[in-house]
Amino acid sequence: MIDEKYIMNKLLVRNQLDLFEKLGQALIQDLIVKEGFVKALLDREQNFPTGLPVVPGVAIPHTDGDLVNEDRLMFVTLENPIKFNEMGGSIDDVINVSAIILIAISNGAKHLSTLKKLIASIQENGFVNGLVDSRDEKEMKTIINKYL
Amino acid sequence: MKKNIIVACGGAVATSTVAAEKIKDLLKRKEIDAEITQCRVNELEAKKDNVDLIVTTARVTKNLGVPIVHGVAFISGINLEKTEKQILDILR
Repeated sequence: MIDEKYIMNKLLVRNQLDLFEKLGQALIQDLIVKEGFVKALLDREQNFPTGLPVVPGVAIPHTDGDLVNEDRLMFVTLENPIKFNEMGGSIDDVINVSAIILIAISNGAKHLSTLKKLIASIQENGFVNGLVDSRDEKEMKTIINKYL
Repeated sequence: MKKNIIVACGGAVATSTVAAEKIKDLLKRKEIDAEITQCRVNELEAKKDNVDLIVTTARVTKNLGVPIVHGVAFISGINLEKTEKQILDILR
């Protein structure tokens, strides 16, 4: 589920749309997800945002499982933080997000168990800031292996 | 008296399950007897009768006549004590 190919360090994106297009197209090209995944991410984020107010900010974008062919987690840090709305917050609750963990999992039960593990890691000191402080993909991978 | 709580999220009942489990632990610690059910936020209107508290991980703007607590703290771990206190204050 964790694939080095989908660990990206200091990705340069302008905004959420740009981010979702870059990540989504990479997964679509590799047939990991189906066409429509980018739009599904955007729609979902619009209605049910996934920004979490930890420091530094992290977002966990995801869709329903029907667009997913193969399960993957994508770990991305951003060169420049972008804005996400806070999960469950009002439209004014904006979070500057420096790390993205994209969840592409087809099965509901597996999505849940993975989400639980991720949330526990996100609440640990050292995971999100460790990712954001990583200088390259290799350092990110070390952090991921340590905390997940 | 047994309290009725709904924990709701936006999509496929994932984040609400995480929140619901943590609320269950909290209520057990505080010895509060409660029934916790889960649903999507768009089902709240139909399920809100006889409910004492709604906790959500997705935005609800409509007034449902039931106290609503924003439960993102169960996911982020930030301000968890404040959220727990809000819940306990409503149930007690």
